[in-house]
Amino acid sequence: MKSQKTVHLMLLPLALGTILFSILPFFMSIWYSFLDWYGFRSPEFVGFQNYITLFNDNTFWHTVFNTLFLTAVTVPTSIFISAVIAVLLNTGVKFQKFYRIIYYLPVITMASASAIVFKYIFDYKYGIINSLLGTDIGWIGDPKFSWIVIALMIIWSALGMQILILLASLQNIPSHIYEASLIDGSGPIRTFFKITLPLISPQIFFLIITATISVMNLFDIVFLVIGDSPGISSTRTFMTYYYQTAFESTDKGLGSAIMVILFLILCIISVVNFKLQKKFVNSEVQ
Amino acid sequence: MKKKIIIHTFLILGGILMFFPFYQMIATSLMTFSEAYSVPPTLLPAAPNLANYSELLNGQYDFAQAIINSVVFTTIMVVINVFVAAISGFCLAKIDFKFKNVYYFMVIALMMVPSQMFILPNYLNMAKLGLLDSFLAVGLPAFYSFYGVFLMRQFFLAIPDELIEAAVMDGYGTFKIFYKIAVPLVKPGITVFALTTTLYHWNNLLWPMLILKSQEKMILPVVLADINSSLVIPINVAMAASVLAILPMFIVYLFVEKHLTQVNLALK
Repeated sequence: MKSQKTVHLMLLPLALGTILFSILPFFMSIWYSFLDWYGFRSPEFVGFQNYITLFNDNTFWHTVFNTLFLTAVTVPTSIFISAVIAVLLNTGVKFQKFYRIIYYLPVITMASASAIVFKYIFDYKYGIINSLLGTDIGWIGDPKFSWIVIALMIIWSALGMQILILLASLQNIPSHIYEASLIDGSGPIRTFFKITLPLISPQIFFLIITATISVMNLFDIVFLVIGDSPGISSTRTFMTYYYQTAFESTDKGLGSAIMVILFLILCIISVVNFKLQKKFVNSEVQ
Repeated sequence: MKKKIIIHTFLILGGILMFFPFYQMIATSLMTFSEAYSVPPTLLPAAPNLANYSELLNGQYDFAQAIINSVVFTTIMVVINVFVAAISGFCLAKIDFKFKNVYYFMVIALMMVPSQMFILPNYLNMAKLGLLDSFLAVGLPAFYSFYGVFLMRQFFLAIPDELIEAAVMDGYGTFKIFYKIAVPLVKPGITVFALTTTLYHWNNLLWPMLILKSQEKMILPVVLADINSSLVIPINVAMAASVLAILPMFIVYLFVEKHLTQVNLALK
């Protein structure tokens, strides 16, 4: 009995924090999304009005499209590059640790710092990119190009963690499996697709999900690099839309509705994740 | 041999692309104003010097204070976060008690909820409590991490039950088992989570940006975001600020680099 008391005491910090700063605000957010609550005016219950407003708002649909587009561009690209680099690093190449550190650096870099340097690199006048390409493109301010900068930054900052996870799982593959395929006369490309890829499919799957979720939650770099420039129309994510609505325009009801929709989308992703994982992931090898 | 050269060429080219933003950052931070704003751009400072760094540390942004604030704030948050994650993860992994499943379900379920969903209500609650512009308000919603609890639980699960049972026989209480026996066995896990949470608190922007207002309470991500949108701070000084903001994390990272692969094992 005494030990029961101790356990609950040990879990008290987590329980208190969770109730006050996660569970309570979770339900408050849902409640807010049914309110007409603007600036300092007192809130008024309006049912699903905020959701109806959102569904009739072009900006909202642009946000949905941008997020899907950025996900579709960056997730497969970054995982493909990570897989290639992880396989190359796993060949017993020299200076493996050096490469690992270089590729991991962007992961530890704060978005506020990388934003400053990427804005400069892609500056239409002083940036190296325009100078190298001999072009005069407004990378940040032009919606036709701003998504490229954001996509590059997403990939750049995602690779390190993905390589780390893939490399660790590659190193867990017993070498006799490779030896067997070598004896069978399998070439490196065939070995990769027939042996390596199925063996690391759980990790690939894990990365697809985490990368998708992180694009869904993207805020920092879009807020810092694109800001309020016209380039936002092709890079606006749920989070930047939410920030502008709830904090800059102080429309708390509409902002909360955006968050609730994002939450529902992430729930759907999780459910699909569990279903697909059962179907496609090769779990016998684990 | 030829194969090796191809592999290295590939990895080096990739490495150059990955490192280029850092090179640009360092190079520009050593340039003069006119070099940083030259057309066409130059990549090599003619006479590298640290003038930008001294201007920054003595300038209007009180950057030195921001560094100190960031170090103190991050250190406190990491210590508390690691403690809460370890003690909760241990209970969920190794102790039987009432409502254990409720706790575990909460952790897993809330790990899926985007934490941004909590921001607006938390902000309004902090405002009601008069806690805006305080480090307490920055820290309160962030002293625990569901991911951390989950990760630590995975590490504690690997400890054999016999070890715990033997300690119970010896008359050890639950808390004593936790810190005398279990914690020393999961040091790699603690290192991994400590790095993750250090990076998070050092780099996190949105919540501190909403809460902190006064100049003397600024922390690095917020100051840098300010510099980033400022029209008066020249880019060469801004780059110096970026270098100083990243450098401490780079050093921390180098120290724990070899433990990092452990995270993958825990996630299985």
